[in-house]
Amino acid sequence: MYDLLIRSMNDQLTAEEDKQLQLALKVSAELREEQVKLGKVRKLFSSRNYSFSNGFRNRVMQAVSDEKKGKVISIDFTRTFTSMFNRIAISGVAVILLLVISLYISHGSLNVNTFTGVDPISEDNLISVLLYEK
Amino acid sequence: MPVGDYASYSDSELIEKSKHGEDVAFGELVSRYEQQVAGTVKGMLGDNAAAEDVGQETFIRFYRSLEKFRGDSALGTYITRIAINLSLNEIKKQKKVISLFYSRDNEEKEFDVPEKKNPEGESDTKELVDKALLALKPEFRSVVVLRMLQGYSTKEAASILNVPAGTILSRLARAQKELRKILEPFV
Repeated sequence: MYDLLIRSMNDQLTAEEDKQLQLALKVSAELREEQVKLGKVRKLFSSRNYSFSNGFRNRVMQAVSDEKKGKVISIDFTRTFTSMFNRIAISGVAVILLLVISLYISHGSLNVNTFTGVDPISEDNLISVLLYEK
Repeated sequence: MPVGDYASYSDSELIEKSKHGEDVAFGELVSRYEQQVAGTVKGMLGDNAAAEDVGQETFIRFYRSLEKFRGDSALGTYITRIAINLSLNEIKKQKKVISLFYSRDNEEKEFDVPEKKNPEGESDTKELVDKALLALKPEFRSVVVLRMLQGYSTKEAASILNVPAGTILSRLARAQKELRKILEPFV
């Protein structure tokens, strides 16, 4: 019956359960005393008010402001990094193009050997290299 | 715009203004929910500096998630959910630190019942409530905080803690029995 009493404080009892509880409360002084005590416990908690120390709102707003600054800094860094990367990439591509043009001018073609700097390997050359002895 | 003027705005209007960078609007939201968050975190962690930090962190997390807030639940419920989760994380953190220094002998006990004192010696009922709350395990404490301190319904508490309503009711019943035991000399 004690469980039913506690449940009655937190949940809707069925009509049958409520009838049972009311009957038990009528006949049991002990249960009535428990009901009063449980009610007092609940009152103790519902009347407890908490608050933060003075200046809480200002501290939160300061933290929010710092947070925003942090975001701005990180956005600025990303922007700077992106624009720097673009400049470096454009310069790099220009240098590569100049090198390719100079290679074309000096070698007259742009085949693999031109890039690797290796002369065309003919079978005769290869044999002569392999047969070479000091 | 003076701060006072923001008091007339609804929560959703203030959220929209905060999203557009109006800090005063967010400040108004902090003022509106400050006490509710204090009740949640101080109920969970006690009236101490850690609770103040968690309270502050609650609002910072809320600020970060402003864009994500769709308004499916009431703003108070949304903020309380953040506060409860951060409090539970803080308790875990504190438990880890404590377990480094103390043995686990007491962990078998479901509730840590404080020593009974003479009612005249315990004049401060606030302190009494705090002590009784802290004697409960976090999962029971969170239910008591939401239902008995904050006045949320069983359904709302279930939604905040992401557990079935039946679990809320059974935890609340057990917690109430324990609180009744703990507070026996004072009621």
